Amino acid sequence: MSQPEVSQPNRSRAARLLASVPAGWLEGLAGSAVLLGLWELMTAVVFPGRHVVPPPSQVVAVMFHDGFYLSSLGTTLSEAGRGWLIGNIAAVAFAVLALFVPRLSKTLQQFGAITYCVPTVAIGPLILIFAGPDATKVAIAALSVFFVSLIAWMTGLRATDQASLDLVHAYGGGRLTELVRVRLRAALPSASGGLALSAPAAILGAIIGEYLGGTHGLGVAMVSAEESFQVARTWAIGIVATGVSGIAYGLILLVVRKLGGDPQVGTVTGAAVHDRGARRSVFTRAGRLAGPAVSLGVIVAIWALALKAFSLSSYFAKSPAAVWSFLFKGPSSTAHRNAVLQALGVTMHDAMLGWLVGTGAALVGAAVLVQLPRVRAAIFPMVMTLRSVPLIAMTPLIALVFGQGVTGVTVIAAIVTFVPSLVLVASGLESAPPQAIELARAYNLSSMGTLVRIRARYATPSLFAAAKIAMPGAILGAILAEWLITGSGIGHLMAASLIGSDYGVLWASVVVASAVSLVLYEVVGSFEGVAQSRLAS
Amino acid sequence: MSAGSGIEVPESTSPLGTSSSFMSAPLSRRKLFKRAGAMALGLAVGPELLAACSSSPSTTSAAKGSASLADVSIQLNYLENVQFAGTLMAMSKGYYKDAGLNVTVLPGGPNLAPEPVVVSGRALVGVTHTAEGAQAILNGAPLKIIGAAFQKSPTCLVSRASNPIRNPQEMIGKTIGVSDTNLPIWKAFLKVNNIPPSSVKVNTVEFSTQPLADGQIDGLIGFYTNEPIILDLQGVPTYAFLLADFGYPIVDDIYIARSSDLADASTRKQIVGLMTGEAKGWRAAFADPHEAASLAVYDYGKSLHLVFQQQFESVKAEQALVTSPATASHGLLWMTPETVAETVKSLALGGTNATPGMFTNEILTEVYSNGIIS
Repeated sequence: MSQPEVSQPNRSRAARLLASVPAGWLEGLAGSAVLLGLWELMTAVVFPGRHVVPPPSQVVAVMFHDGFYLSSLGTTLSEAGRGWLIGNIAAVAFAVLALFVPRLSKTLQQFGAITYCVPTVAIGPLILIFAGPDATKVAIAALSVFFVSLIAWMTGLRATDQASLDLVHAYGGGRLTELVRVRLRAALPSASGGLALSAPAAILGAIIGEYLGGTHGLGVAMVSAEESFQVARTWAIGIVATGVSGIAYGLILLVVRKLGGDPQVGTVTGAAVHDRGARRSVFTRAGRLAGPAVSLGVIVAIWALALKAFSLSSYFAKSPAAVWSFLFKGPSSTAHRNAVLQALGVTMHDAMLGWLVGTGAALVGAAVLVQLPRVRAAIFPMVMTLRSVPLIAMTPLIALVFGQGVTGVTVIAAIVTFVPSLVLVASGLESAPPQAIELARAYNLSSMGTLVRIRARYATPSLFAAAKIAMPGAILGAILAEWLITGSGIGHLMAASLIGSDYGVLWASVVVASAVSLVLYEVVGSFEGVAQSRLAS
Repeated sequence: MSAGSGIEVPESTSPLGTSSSFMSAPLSRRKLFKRAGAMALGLAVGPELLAACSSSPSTTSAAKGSASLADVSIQLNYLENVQFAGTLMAMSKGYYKDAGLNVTVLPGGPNLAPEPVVVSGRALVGVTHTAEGAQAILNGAPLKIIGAAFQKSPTCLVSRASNPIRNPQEMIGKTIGVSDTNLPIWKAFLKVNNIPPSSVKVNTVEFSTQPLADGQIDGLIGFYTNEPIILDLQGVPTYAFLLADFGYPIVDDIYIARSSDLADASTRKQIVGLMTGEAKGWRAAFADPHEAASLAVYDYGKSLHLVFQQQFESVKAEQALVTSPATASHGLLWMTPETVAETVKSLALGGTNATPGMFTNEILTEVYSNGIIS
């Protein structure tokens, strides 16, 4: 088979390799090298004698010694891979259904949002009863993937241009032809972004599942290393998990590009869909309330029926009625409610503080990225790496560096917030129409002035889009951190109730935490809509 | 930090660490897990099916050979290390097979509660912490406590030898790390020693010894068989005292099973077989701690990257807690009326109102009907 490269016989392998590396990666590499150097220096200067942060050289040595945890990696990737596939297949099915039955679109999206808002770390022990050890990890991975992919596919399937559709119709094509011939192809850029972004999410889900126990797996190895005080190994496993997540993400993007796609990560990062078609009439506002009500009803019905079908013991499997009675009707419901709400208050405080910090950092970061394209090339790969960090693997490490108190929780909530906000706001800043920028230049507006006066305006909807996703994300991150490291908040309440076999508290906490996240998602989402319609008008 | 921490590899590579068991044992386990998977498929249909599925083979267990082995599972509350030395030895020595059982070991982890797994029938027997198991029963879990691995709980307070906490009174004014798991125990321990909770600062820690080594905390509630050994081996000398020696006597790592399975003749027989394997396994572990540690490090817990010396020292430390004058005369795992009474009293201090009726030696009585294992 003849290759185009034949025409350049003198190009060395290295040169060809370099040429095949997308632009900006060299800067990215340089940025990462600087970071590593700083780390090595820090361990020598800031943390000497402490057992918290081992120098990277030592971490790398352990990593090589342990053979990169291949058997563990295989297990985790198998769980994550199956979860990723199942989650994406379900997402495609839902997205296609939403396309054919537009009236269901909102409800299906809310159903997805609910799966996103439920703290998987807390429902893992419950899924285990239904699914068994292996399937539980797959299920948690699938759950972690579903919403990200759903939004990506829904956005993508709607992205078809009318001309292509008209062509199909002109040739007598039905809706199915339309779907197969035009829409699926048009969906690829957005969908492939979702496919890529959901890979790290699936790995994170699998690792969360592995905290329930197992013989192999990165999560299992992580717990063991942590417990037996093997600090360098703990870091090594965390880095392997991060690296693999990053590679999975990159590979999927690469495959899509090879297939001729043009993945749009920006628009779906953190799974924010811009409801461009949504009209803000009184009618749709009422619909905004009806949608969640319907999806909640469906969830509650599935929940009640599942318990009935499996005839599970009521000591741990609490029905919707039991949770209602626990919180509102039973003899000590007031005390229960107070305990849950008090814990929730702590969580909300920490999560929102983290959200503020993360958003603030993202705003500054996005401005810098837009103003200084070279910095962008150096930093962006690292930002995406941060996106791939399996939170559960890094939570204990963050706690060790930042302490076990509020700071650790806030840092984790901030990290969860930072990445999607940065990417979305940056793309929002860049979405300002060239004419507007030209006009600003004509009026002699400085680059900074353009940023503040023009670009910021166009980035407002993105800010809300980011918040819609990041607020529930920050809450989930805070819950995870509380579960693992601090002795307060609703995450801690969940962990303590599991240990104390107090499943009433566990179920109630899960329901309340999910509900609050969902409400935030909806409220911010409506702000996003308003901001968008203002921009359009 | 001590050089090379984390890449500790024991000089003493065990005979088991070499190719023979390396190859054969993991393979047989893989088969086991396949079986477990097949069983799980059946299980998805419902708990009733499990009873049918797991009891049917036992009716034919008179016939020898692996085909007649009954498939059952045991749910541990943590990863497969020497905390379950008895289980690992029973697997490796074939004690479960001798009892007509094909046992799948379900390892636990920090986020796992064993009780629902047993109640739902996914495991025939579970190993759990005493307060957690008793609380589950109080909340309506139809379970019985059928044995206790640790006669004396290994729960201890470990501190740095350079800044030792030698008794409960010395905790006052210090910062102590307590995991969620140990919070009820901690509260009870303070109460019994008349220490006001406000006088000790508590940090939540989760399965990590780092905060103690780094001085973020002065003491840590841990397992006598884990944390002190881990820290000593990493070059952080420690001082540790057992909570049991200061007013908080309690059994730990209790075995639980469903009441309905105790009442059913065929599942009861399987439980007796499983507990026979456990008792024999523990005896074998103390007879050869080196092998028990090797099994955890090189075989069953291979992916956990355990440190051999830690595991070896742990088995030796466990012996003093699992065996006692009572087990010498009644057999391992046995719960005398006195231990039960002490345990119930200690649990009550932590707000768990357990009753002696939750504990039963009926299975162990059958296990030891032909002579005790101690």
